[in-house]
Amino acid sequence: MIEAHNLAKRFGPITAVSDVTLEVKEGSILALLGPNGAGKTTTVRMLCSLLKPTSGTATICGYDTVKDAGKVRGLVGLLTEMPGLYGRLNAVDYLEFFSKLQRISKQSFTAHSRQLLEYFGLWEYRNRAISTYSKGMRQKLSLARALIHSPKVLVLDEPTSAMDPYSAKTVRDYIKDMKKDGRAIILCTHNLPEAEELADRIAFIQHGQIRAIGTSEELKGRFLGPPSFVAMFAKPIEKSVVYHTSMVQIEEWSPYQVIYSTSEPEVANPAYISHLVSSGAELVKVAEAPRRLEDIYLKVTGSND
Amino acid sequence: MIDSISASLIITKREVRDILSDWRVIIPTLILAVIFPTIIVLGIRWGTPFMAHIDPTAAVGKAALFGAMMSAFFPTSFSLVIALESFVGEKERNTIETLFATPLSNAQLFIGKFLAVMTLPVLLSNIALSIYLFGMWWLLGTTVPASFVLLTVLLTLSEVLIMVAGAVIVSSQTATIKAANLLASFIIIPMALAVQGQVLIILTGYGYILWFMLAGFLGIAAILIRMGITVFDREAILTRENDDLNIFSIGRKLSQLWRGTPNSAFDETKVTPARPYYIRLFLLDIPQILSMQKIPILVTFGMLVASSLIGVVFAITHPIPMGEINASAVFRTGESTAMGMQLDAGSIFLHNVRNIIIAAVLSIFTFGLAALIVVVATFGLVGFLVGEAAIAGVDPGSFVFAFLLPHGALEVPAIVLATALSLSIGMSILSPPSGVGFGENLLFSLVNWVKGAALFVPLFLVASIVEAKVTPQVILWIFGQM
Repeated sequence: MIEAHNLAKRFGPITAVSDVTLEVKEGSILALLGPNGAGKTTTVRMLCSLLKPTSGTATICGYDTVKDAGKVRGLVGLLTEMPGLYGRLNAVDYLEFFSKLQRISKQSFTAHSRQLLEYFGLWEYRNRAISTYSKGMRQKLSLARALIHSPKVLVLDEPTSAMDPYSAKTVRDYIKDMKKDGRAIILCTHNLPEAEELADRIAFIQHGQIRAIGTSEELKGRFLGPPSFVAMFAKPIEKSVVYHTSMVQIEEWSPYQVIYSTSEPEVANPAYISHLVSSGAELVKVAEAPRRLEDIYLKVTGSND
Repeated sequence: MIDSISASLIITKREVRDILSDWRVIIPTLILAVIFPTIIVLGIRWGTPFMAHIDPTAAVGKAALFGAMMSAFFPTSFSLVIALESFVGEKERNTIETLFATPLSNAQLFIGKFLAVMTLPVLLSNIALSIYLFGMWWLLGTTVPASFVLLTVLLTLSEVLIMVAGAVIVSSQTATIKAANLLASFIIIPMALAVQGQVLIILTGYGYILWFMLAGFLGIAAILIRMGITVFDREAILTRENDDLNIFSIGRKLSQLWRGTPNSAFDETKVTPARPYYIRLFLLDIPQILSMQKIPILVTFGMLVASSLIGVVFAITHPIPMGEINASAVFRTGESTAMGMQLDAGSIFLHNVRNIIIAAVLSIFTFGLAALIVVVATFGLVGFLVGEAAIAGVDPGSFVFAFLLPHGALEVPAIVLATALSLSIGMSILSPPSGVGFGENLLFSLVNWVKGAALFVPLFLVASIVEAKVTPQVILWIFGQM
């Protein structure tokens, strides 16, 4: 649904984006992560036909983002990083304005706007001027605006920023529903747990280039190595017992704890745990050591600075 | 077409609603539209006895016309405030990107904003004029002629069109409202001068000239609207971060355009042939420039011919009274050649080059009209002289052959080329090629002018030598014996 091939954008002597190639299929979410100024917004603007690429091509639902710009803008729902709103309008008038620009019939608008405002908890405030809304309410209204024309493609820049945890969960759930409904979604965020929760694939972008792209597990395997496990004991255990193995790699040992890694946990874990127990270890707990997306983020972006 | 306009009207409707809900706009607007015409009516009523001492017959009439024009114009002045922030204001409030992310074309966005800014000032102007006309009839029993009311309505409309189009262009080309306000002086000052001109015309009693002024204003408005639609670029608006004039960037661009051939100016894939520059300039660059200037050359040549003919016709219809000047003697004796002999080649050359440079610079601000005016004035005068010579009994063919042909054979092509290049400078900001900013296109046309100067300046130089040394001899040869 979203395809980009070797996209590049230069502003005079400055290269904002170079050689970006990505694909987002129907019913999937790609999270675009990277530091400020990495090229996320420029990439997204090119995909939304707001900027013309200096080189490379991109298509949305088969439509070229340059040649069919108007069509593309009708297919994409964009939530910008800093969504300004027309403060003197109320929520309904605001949504109606954009629905008219998107050529949505009055009937469809009435039903859909109510559904969106109710879902995001704004229905009872619909007649109030937007200037009186809180930050979170504005963010939710902006999201409703991006969704008002039921776009096939969604590009969401920080969709849950400024929201309370309940509202943020509501929005995340809606995004998941959109995905189930077959939409292709690009999510730009600095909220890494959110990216991990929602995205099927994650792309790290820095200095205008995609440094890494893949599923969360693929990226963890590539950048953090095989998964690590922590085994904790009730009584001290001999070092020789812990190290008497070729099944796993021991990373750290202490009398009450051992941290080991293996690329084949399904095979190695049962065998190694049996070995420990049969050697007299009083096992309290075995758990996978947390491997955070943040570590990959720091590794990918930090090493290249 | 209707569908296209209806999309623009969606923006217009929202904008108008937004303007009407802003008390900072509404209060001064009401003052200008209701209170101001009332003050003018009262001022005329109280001032009439004093004015009658000066011009008893025309005082009230002229004051009534002046008042009508002012009443209609003042409410339009605030249109600049709204127009200047039409795009840049949305950019500052972060609403522009969501608007740009809709399927509307650049032209639809521009027209939508343009109509929104136009609507209220025009409406208020007509309300103010109506209040004024009613007040004049009610308090003074004076009616303004219907033709003048129509002229006032149209003139005000054309002025609003110019101010709004100019301001919307400024708004779409700046990064901050502050910068847009600073640039507004380029609109305010010429408009203020134009309004003063209108007042003078009314007071001197040559009201019919205002119809010509109206035609000129409508022409300028059409040019500005066309320019606005052409230079409107949502990408540039979104990505413009500041309004600093980057001298280094301009220098780099000028250098790139100077080193490259005209055909490769905006195409980075085309490689500029590596030859000694001065050879390439004449073999590649100038032929390419000439090829690009076909239409400006044709326009210039057309103006040259037309103005020459008008000059001849003017001479026939307004001949110099023979009793005052013995034109025949002037043309027949070598008297006139003495004038030519007093001029040296250097003065002629410097005079020509100076005029061409001034015309080129003024073309930037007048869409190329300044350059055409030089041609029209020069060749109008030439045509007039040929006509007068004919009236004096001198064979026009001999006159042209003696007085013009020797140096004109070189000077006329030089003038046509230089004027065409200056015209291109003026037009460059109106219609840059797709993907090229008007600033970049202006630099391109300036570089082409300088490259073209490598051809027309030597032509002027040789022509001036011929004019100083050869032309007088030819005149003496042909007319000296008569």
